[in-house]
Amino acid sequence: MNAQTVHPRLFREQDGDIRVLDGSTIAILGYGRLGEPLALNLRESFAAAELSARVIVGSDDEASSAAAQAAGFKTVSLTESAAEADMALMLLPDEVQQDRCDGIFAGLKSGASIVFASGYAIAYDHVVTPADSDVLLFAPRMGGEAIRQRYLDRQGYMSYLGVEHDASGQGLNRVLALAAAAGSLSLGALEMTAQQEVALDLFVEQAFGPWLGAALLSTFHVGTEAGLPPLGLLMELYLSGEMSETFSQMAREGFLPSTLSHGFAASFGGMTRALSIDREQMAEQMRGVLDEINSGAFAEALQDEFRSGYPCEPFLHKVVGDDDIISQTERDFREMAADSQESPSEAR
Amino acid sequence: MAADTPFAALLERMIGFINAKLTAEQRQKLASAMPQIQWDFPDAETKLCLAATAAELSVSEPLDTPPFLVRMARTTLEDAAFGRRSLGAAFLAGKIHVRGMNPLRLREFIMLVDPLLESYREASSECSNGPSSAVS
Repeated sequence: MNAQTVHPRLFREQDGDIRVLDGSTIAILGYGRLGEPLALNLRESFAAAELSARVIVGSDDEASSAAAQAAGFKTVSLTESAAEADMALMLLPDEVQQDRCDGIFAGLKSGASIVFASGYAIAYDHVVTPADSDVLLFAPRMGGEAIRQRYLDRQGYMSYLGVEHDASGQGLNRVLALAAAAGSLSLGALEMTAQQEVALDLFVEQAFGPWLGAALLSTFHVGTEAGLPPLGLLMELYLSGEMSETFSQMAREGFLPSTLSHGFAASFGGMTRALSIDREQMAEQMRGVLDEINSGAFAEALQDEFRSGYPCEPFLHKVVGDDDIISQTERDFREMAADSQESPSEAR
Repeated sequence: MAADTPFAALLERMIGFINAKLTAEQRQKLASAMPQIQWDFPDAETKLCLAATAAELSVSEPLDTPPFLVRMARTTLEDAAFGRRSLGAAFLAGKIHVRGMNPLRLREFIMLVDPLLESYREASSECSNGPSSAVS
């Protein structure tokens, strides 16, 4: 390991003892993309360990409440569930928390822990938490569907965790127990502050994500303009799964080694072309993004968007409507794949 | 459509219609977020600099280095205005180039989009049929 670099602590299975949560009531505040898989994972882990910890769901949304009830969870309002909880997982959308948390936290039992799945509200001082509550961070680095599937497959998933306020002196043990029960620690959890978590999350979403998307779109439209087949381009870009396999390979074997593993033509072509990219321009744009994240300008814009009733949302949905050539090509491919499955002989 | 009307004149008329669709508050927001938006239509060899103040939107001299530039073909604008292809699809297909926009002020820009497309339709209709039919 490089002696100059101090990495955060990496916690693994042996670091978390889910028995710490025995007898506790865990309230899942928000039964959405993250709430549902976490609730299911926790309930199954407690049952497997024969603990008396129970998972309840807090939701003020009719559809989410119905889904939670259908999954067999006691489901009450957000404030009612928080009032019953020994540990409350705040899973409402980032921008909503500023307006909702005060009311929810006001009813917490003395000494109950609050766990945030995102550092956003803490880092930007959007919430005030009771002084006698542990304030903890458990932020999975995986989408909800994969959190559930990887739990079922016993693969685990990476997460960040941290203790922002340790009122009980047991904050770390509690959040480690939660991470273990949620199925993360079999792969690992990195210790991170809320400030670091939100900066990392927003920065990569807003710096890397748009460049990746723009590169994909530009490749597609330059290629199609020049007469390359649209379906072939999408196949190269992501439909075949080769690109996602390349990313998996980066995680397994390392970013640079993976660039050399696709044959000499690929590495020669790719690396020589990379030299011609103006990375300083890219870096400058990314620095601007990070400045706006760190200064709170992005958070202000997001809060303003929420308070104004999400005026940008219809526009963004329109941009990703389905009348574009990419979506059409994807539909064509799915139809072709379905047709060939239905009648394999004709497809041959 | 207004085949005989110069495109620049059509755009100027469009701005007149937009003015009537935005409130003073909306114009003020636009003016504070993006006081000048330059539209560049290379295929029509036309540049339009839209200047926004709380009082009105107006046309100003095109700038050599506009702080906010939107470049697209005239056909892209017309396809969007007449519902043949959405601006979103055109953007995804690389038919719209945007430079210098502050993404945190997207809301102010969005506010302009539908009035602009509607106004373009009205301006086109007016130029085809004469002022009375579109203005009424």
